[in-house]
This record gives sequence, structure tokens and C-alpha cells, in this order.
Amino acid sequence: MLETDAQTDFVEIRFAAGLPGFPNVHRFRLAPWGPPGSPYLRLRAVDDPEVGFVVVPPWVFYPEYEFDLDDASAERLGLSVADDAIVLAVVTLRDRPEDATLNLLGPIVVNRHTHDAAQVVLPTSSYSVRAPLAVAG
Amino acid sequence: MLVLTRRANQSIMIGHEIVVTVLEVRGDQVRLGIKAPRSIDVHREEIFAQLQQANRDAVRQDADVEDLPGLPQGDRR
Repeated sequence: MLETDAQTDFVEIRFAAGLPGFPNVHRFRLAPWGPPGSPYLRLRAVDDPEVGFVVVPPWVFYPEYEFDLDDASAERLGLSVADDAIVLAVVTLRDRPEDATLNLLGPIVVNRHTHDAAQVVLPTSSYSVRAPLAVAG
Repeated sequence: MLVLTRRANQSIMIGHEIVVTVLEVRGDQVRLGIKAPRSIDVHREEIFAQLQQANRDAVRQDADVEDLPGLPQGDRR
């Protein structure tokens, strides 16, 4: 995961193009969230306290998740190697915890060195924008 | 909305750098080619709209760890 600044418990990441639905929100703080061992993070806009998201590495719930980053996004984020990327999926919380869903169609991709970020739209329709988190088992 | 009619192999300029070309018309489908600067994303409108809506549904000022599945309930430090 990103190394947090020694002075703070968050990292600041920049969405040059904002996010779909929030095109003018660019700076966000990313911080671990939850009790020790929690995989979740909070993504909070620096300049707008009302804009915040819960995010999680998608592999926590979907170990088989994978995608090819399109060339334009890779170039824009300065990514040439998969290890330089951190991928996070946005969680939508609903009335009941078991109804929470994960956006696997629009993952957030972060360059771990430059902290440039973008929400990428995957071309395939094989992933859902509302994938369930709670796996029946 | 600006309405233009094009045939196959005709194009539309949007601004100075974006070119939309009708590549082929077959039945009720139109194949479009889009040339745009790398800084501009091009998406199928319905996919982008889905993503916009998903972000709007997900945004929240506050969140409670108890609202999330997969974490032991009552295990708060």
C-alpha cells in the first residue's frame, strides 16, 4: 500500500480529471479505516468535506479480479509496470451491511510513486458496477 | 443539441482536436472512429452514466465501520 507521510496518517492523491460525477474535485486524502486488520480505506476530498468514499482493494473480495489498463490511462498515470499501481474499488454502503456493493467496472488506479490517480472505466461488461461484498458461504 | 447528418467515411470536428468519423453504417448500427487527445476520455455514454450514478450513490460525508460487511461486529478498539 502507499506509504503514509511520517507526520500524518494519510496520503494525498490527485485526480487530474476528477471522478465521473465529480469532475471538479481533484485532491483527496486516502487513509486506512476501521479496526486493526481492516482492509478498508477512506478517500476524502480535501476541498469538499461532503465528498468522501469508502474504498477497498478489490482482491479482498474478488481474488480473481483482473483487467488490462488501457494505454491512454496508463500513459496519463505514468504507469508502465503493474507493481507501480495501487487499485481500489469504491464501496457503496446500503441500509444493511450485507447489501453493500463494490464498483468493479470503474476501479480507481493510483500511481504509488507520483500519487496521480484516475477512476478508469473498463471496456468489458463482465464486471458489475454493483458487485456484492457479502459472499454467501 | 446540434444535429448533423453524415454518410460513411464522413467526419465531424469537435473543437480543434477531436474528430468523429462514421466508419460504417450497417443496418441499425453505426461504427464510429474517434480521434481525441490522450487527456480526453471517450466512453459509451451509458457506461459513463452508470459510473457517474454509482459514484453519486457511493459518496458519503460520514461512514460507520459497522455498516460494512466482513468485519467482526463489536470488535472496536
